Amino acid sequence: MIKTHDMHYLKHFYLYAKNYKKTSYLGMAMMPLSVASNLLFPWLVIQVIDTKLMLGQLDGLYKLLFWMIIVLIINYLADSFYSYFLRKTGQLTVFEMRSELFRRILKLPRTYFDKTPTGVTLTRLTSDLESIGESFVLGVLSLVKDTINTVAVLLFMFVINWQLTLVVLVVFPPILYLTYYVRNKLRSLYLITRSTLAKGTGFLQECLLGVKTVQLYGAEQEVEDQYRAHTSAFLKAQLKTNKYDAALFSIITGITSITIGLIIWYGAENIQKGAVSLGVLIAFINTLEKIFIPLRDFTSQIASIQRSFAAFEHIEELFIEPLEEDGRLLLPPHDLKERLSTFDSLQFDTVSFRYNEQTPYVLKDVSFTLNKGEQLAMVGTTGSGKSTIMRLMNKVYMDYEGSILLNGIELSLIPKASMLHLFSLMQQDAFLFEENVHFNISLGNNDVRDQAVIDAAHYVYAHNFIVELPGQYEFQLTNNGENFSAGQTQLISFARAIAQGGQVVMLDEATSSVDSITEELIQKAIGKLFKEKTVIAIAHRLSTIRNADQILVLADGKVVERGNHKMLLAIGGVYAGLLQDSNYVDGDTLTEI
Amino acid sequence: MTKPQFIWYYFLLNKYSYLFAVVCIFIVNWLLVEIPRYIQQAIDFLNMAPDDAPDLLAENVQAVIVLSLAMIFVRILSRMYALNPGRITEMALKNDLFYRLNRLPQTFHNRYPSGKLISIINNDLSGIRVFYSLGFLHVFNILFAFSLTPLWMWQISPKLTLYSVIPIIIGFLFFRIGFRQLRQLQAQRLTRLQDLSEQLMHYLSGIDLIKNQKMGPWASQKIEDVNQKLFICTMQITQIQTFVLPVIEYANHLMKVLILGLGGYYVLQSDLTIGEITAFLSYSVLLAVPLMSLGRILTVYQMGMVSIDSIQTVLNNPIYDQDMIMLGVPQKRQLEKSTLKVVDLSYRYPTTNDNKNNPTNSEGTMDPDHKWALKNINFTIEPGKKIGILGSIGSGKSTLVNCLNHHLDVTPGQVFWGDKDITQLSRKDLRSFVRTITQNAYLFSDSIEKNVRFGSAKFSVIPSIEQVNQVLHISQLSDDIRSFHNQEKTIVGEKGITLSGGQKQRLSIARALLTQSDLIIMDNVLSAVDYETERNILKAVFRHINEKSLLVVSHRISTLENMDEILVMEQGQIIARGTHSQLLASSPYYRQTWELQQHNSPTQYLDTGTEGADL
Repeated sequence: MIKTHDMHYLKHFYLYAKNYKKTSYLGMAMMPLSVASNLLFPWLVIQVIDTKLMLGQLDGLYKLLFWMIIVLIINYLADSFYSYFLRKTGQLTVFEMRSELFRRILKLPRTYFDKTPTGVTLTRLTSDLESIGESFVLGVLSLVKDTINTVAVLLFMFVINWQLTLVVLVVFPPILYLTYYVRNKLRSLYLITRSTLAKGTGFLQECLLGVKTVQLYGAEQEVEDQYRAHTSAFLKAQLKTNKYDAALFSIITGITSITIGLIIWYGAENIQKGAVSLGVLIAFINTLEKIFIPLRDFTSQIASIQRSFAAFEHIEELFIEPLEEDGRLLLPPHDLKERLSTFDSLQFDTVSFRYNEQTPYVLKDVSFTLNKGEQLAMVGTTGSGKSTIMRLMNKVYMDYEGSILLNGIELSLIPKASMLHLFSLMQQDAFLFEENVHFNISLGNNDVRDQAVIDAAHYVYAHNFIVELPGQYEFQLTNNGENFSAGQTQLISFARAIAQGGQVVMLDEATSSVDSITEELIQKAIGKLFKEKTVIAIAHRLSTIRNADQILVLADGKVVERGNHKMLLAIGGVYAGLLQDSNYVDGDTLTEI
Repeated sequence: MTKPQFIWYYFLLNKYSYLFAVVCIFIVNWLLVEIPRYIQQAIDFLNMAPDDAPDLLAENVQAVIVLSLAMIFVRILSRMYALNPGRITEMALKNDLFYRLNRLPQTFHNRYPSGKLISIINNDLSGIRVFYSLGFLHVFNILFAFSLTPLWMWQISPKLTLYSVIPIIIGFLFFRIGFRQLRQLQAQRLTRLQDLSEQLMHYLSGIDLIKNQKMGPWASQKIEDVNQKLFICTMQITQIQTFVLPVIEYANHLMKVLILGLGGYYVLQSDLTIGEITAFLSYSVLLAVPLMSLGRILTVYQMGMVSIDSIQTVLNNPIYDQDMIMLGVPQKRQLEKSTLKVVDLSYRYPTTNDNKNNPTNSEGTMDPDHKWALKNINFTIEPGKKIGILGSIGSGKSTLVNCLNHHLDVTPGQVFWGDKDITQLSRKDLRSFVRTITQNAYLFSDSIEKNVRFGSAKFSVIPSIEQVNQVLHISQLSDDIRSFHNQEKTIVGEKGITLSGGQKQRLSIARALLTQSDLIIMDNVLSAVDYETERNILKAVFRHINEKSLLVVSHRISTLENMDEILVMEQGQIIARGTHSQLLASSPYYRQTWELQQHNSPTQYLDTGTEGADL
């Protein structure tokens, strides 16, 4: 059954459902009408048989029939509105929860996204909420309705004739036990079928993705044999499920007629005694379905509600996930406004950082200063800490050791919203929105006017290729920009950074190669930036590195060398070595963080 | 196979099961109409109360109970034997599909990415399963119910039968209309859900940018819009489910009112008995239930047809004839250790309507005149020869490799294995001679050992664990494996995710070396390993393969220095050939590349990974 400690998961559901009290009250108001009309119908059947047909009386028969029709109509309306209004409440609540959760996700810190795969977050907002809307709402509604109706019908029968009702009740315990037993069987089988299906599908997907490898190794037969093992395991479990399903279905439908036999057999003596009327007997026979069908569905409704609790648990996790700036000591934004209106300097002073206490440091005692108008390039193998420095500057991660001063203010004390305008991020593996080119440069920022977008595109030499697109700046991007080449994506990202007007450009160069024409444009644009802006760059191109005033050479989270290109070459240390093997990455042990 | 053939073929797969099910379904339906007759007689005995009533009554009651028990039993059988074939057909289709997919060429797999195939197999197969199970059961249930029930009703009272079915027919019409709308709305809702997922996925992958640029409100609004659409659609479905679909149930109740009214009149006229009315009331339910499934069955049929069409688009793709003709053992032995001869090979990727599917390398989209991926390639690899191919990104190296192993459809008369044109050989046979190690190592989420053994099951002699360890040693992976928790039993994760790029490449080398082959092609497989490891691997591979042939593709000259012959490719053509020292003297391109790789060129990257992926 449903455990009480699961109930607190419903907290947020209830919180949002409260906004729709009116709708739900309307629905609940229908319940008494529905129950009453549900009972009146068999009562009228008894009246028709006992007072009219048995007595051979035609008078008033049609009046009774008229009332029966009225009762039917009321029953239909009450039932439909009950379900409609309450389901509407449920759907509205799910709708609201989804919007709210998404707004919340946008405020979660990077650490959440690091530990949670995107697919999981997506599941929370789609399948989990769907399962609340389906399993929970529908399960609870029919459970409540069925329970009330069944109890009411039994009471009604009891009042009319308690002896006959007892006969009906005799079959209850075995039926309840049976459904419970079969459902349990089905549940464990369900787990097996789920996992065998998942394994089979996973294997199939793997083979299809690697079909070239399968074919080149002539391993068709081999993988088919393995797949056949998966499909037949699934079949075996599924056939067992079918058996139990068939049994449950058949027994419940058959039990009705058995009970009818029992009722008649019992009624036989009592009718003669006059203790039971024929009308009652017939009404009972016709009402049995109303009891046994809910009995069959009862356990499956409980199971469906139980399943939805897993979804509730997931959702609740998302609701209590701490927000980015929760519980942090921050300076009030209005005090900072003036001091952060222009960029003066950024200073790292013995900064160390690790993702959490269990993992090793990814930055160790890094110090450097970037003043207005300077250009700083960071080089090093993947995993040396370049990106981490960039992320700390951006307040993507906040729990650093040491000191980072922005215009002399400790970065950890500055609210994110007060400093973001100073930086423009230029990522080469850029993210593109499935909107038009204009939007992707202006990012929907109304302060960026049309001319500014075009100017920015000109500035980074992107204008020429944009005007060749069908629809030019209105050109629609699809699927994260799959209709753009890698080089074009990089240029758009450049234009975006310029249009956003940040005073410091954070350049994150991509390692993927692009065609030579675009490569030339990119190099030209970077050259221009380095002449005119304050830049901090994760550099991969030699041309970029050469342009920098200051080069930080990082290895294992430490600054191992610093200086300009000529100086560093002259030392003949790590930097010179990096350039030597430039073409070759030691990808064996390093992974991108 | 045409569609009727398809349906019939899989239907016959379970013919005995179906046959037995039909008999059971008939018995169930017969019992369903027969039981109310005994109830009727029992009630009439109650009512009339003749002297010998108790005995007759008891007989009837016993009959009801016995028949009910029989019905339960037969019904279990009917459902099992009617529904099981659906699952059996599903399994057969899955296996048949997989068989075909494994044998269809690259041109097919380019058009059908694995995601699409999986969704066909997941969604359409369930449509077909329902068609072959519930569809079958419902058809016969309805057939028997609609032929038996009215007949039994007719026997009691023809007039009452005619009048009482009126409400249920009207109810059914409502139900049917609502049901059809519901199907459409449900399909619409699925797309709405998909939209929502896609939109969410999109924003979640760009979350850093959205946060940095304070685009939260914009993104929230977009999601809210999609969410709203989903909500509206869901409520439309709810309306139909709560207001339209229950109509048939109430029509059934209305029918009962009619039976009581009209039947009651006949009772008073003494044309009918109370027992007969009770039987009639039971029959009314027996008519309503199959009517509800009649609404469903049309949908099951439609969905089944759509699904069969969709599956057939895959199943009806022909496997090339020559791929199905395998060589006999003597023929195969004759072709062992043959010469690979390439004669005037030119290759052009088939043009597709989709621009984005342009299969050439990254430059392909930029260069309109870059149509021929390969032009007039000539060379031979005699048994035991080691050939190298050098070229920059997009020079056609991978395309060439994919032509040699017949991954791409080459024109007949251009590539020969021994005296056989490879287009005349089955791909499977060709690939037992020619083993390719592809640029992107594809591994299975299994143990390291199983990955090395991949493809070896077809050999009569199963390689020993020592042989596995030996090839792991050759590919310089032994040391790495020793440091793993479970050594060679370590699971490598999906696509080998727990391994580094270099480890994956070395594992794929080990895999290729484990079993016999005559020519090994290494397509740029050493790009992610360092110099020294590379040298060690090559040395060990040379020793291991001994008198077998080897073709090594690379853009590093260091890899190729020791080859018997090096072909230099540029823009799909061979621009120079010879040994390392010959080329240094004769080919300016080769020399330049060599010099650049000795020192460093300004346009190189500090950390470049592997070349652009093929396919």
